[in-house]
Amino acid sequence: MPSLRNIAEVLRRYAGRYQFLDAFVDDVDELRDGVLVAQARLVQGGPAPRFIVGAGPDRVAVQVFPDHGVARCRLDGGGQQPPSDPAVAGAVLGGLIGTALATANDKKEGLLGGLVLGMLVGSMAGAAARPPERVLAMEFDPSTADWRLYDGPLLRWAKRTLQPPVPLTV
Amino acid sequence: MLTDLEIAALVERYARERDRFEKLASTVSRRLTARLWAAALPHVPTFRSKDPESLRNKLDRDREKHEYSDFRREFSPALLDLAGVRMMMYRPRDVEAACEIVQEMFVVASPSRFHRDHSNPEGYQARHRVAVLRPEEVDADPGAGNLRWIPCEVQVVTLGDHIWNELEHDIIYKTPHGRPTEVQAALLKTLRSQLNSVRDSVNQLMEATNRQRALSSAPVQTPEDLSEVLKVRCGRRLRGDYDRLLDLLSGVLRDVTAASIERLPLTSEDLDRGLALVRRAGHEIGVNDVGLVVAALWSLYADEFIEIVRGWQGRPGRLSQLVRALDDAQKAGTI
Repeated sequence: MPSLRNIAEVLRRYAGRYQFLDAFVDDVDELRDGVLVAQARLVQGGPAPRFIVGAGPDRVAVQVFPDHGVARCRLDGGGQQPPSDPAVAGAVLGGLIGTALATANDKKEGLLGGLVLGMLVGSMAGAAARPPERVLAMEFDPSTADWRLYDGPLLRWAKRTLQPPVPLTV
Repeated sequence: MLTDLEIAALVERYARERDRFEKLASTVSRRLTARLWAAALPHVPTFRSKDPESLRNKLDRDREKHEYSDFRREFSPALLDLAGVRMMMYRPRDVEAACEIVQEMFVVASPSRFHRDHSNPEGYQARHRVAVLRPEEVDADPGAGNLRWIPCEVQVVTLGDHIWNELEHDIIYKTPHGRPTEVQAALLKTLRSQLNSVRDSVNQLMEATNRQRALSSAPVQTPEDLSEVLKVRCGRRLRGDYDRLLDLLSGVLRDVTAASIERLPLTSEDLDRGLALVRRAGHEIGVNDVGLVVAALWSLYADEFIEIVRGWQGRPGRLSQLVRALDDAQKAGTI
C-alpha cells in the first residue's frame, strides 16, 4: 500500500503538470492505520478541513472527504502555517477518517481486489477559460513501491469514483 | 475454353481447398470490421467462401473466357471472388470512408478489375475491392502462410442497396434465362427509386441524431459518439482510429464528454496548426486524420500521450506512430 511518502514522490515527479493525488482513504498507510491523528496539524477548518503532515523529506497537505471515502493530497509549499491545537486536530481528523474508511469500502464495490489506484489531478495552463481537469490514473505497484500509469478496464469507473466534490483551487 | 470435364475437375479441386478461402474471408472480415468500428463506421459484416455449385455455374457461364491452364497454379487471377466479404453500411456517406480503409489495410491492385465502383442510379450500387493480405502480415502470422496473395473480394454497400442487389441477383442467377420479366423489371425500378428516397431519409435522420448526440453531456463512450462530438467541435469530419483516440482522451481527461471536448483547443484552426506541427516533425498524415486532434493537443498532453502509447500492446497503429514521431521530433528539437 502506498505511504504518504510514496504519494509525495509521485507528486514531485509530476510537479508542474499535476498538483494533487486523489486516493481512497483506506489505501493510504498512514490514514488507514490512524497514525496521523497524533501528528497532523490542522491548517484549514470548514466542511473540508486540511491537514499538514510530514512525509519523509516532504510535507503533504491532506484533505479527507468522508462522504466520498477519498483523500486529496498535495505537496505543501512549506510556508508559515497558523498554529493549531494538536488535540483538536486529532479529534477532527480521527472523526473524518473513521467515516471515510467505511465509505471507501462501499465505494470500491469490491471491484478493485488488491489494485491500488490514485488520480493525479491538475489544471490545464494555456487552455480555454474553464478548462477541463487533466486527470491521469496511476496504479501503485507494491513490489517496486512506485506508481505507474493505469490504463486498465476500470479506468473510467475510477475517474468517476475517485473524485472529491471540490474544484481544483483547493 | 473449358470443357465439362475441366469444370468438374476445377470444382472438385476447389471443394478440397475451400477451407483456406473460408479462412481468408473470415480473417479479412474480422480485421476489417475491427477497423471500421474503431473508425466509428457502423456496419453489418458478412463473409463467405463461394459455394462449389455456384462456382460450377459461374465457370459454365464463362467457359469461353477461360482456359484450363489459367488455373494451373491458383484459381486467381482468373477468379477473384472465391473468398468474399461484404460490409453493409448504415450510412451512405460511410461507404467512401470504408473503401479507403480497405485500401489502406490490404493490398488492392490498381487495375480496374480489382477496383470497381458500381453506381448506376437505376441499378446495381456497390463498391468492389479485390484485396490481398499485406505480405508483412502474412509473414507475421504462421497460420496465414497459405493465404499469401490469395484475393478476397470486399464489397462495400449500403444496407438499402443490398436489398436491391440481392433481389436482382436472384433474378439474374437463379432464373432459367437470367432476365427479369416485364413485371419484375417494373418492380425493380420502383424499388430502386424507393430505396434512393430511403437513402435520403437515412442521411437526414442520422444527421439529426448526430446533432442531438453532440449536444448531450453524457459521457462519450464509443468511437461513433466521439466522431460526432469532434465533428461539431472541429467543424469537419475526421477519419481514423477513434477507438485509440478515445483511449488517449480517456487517459488524460476526467470525463470525455461533449462539454469537456468543447473546452479543448480543437477548432479548425487548432487542427491546422496541429498539421503544421506534424509536418515539421517530418511525419505525414491526411488533412482530415484524427491524428490532428493529438497534434493539436500536443502542447498540453505530450508527456501523457507518450506514456499512454508506450503501454499499448501489439503492432503500432497510426496514432501510435504519430505520437512516436512527435516524441522523436521533440527530443531532436525540430518541434
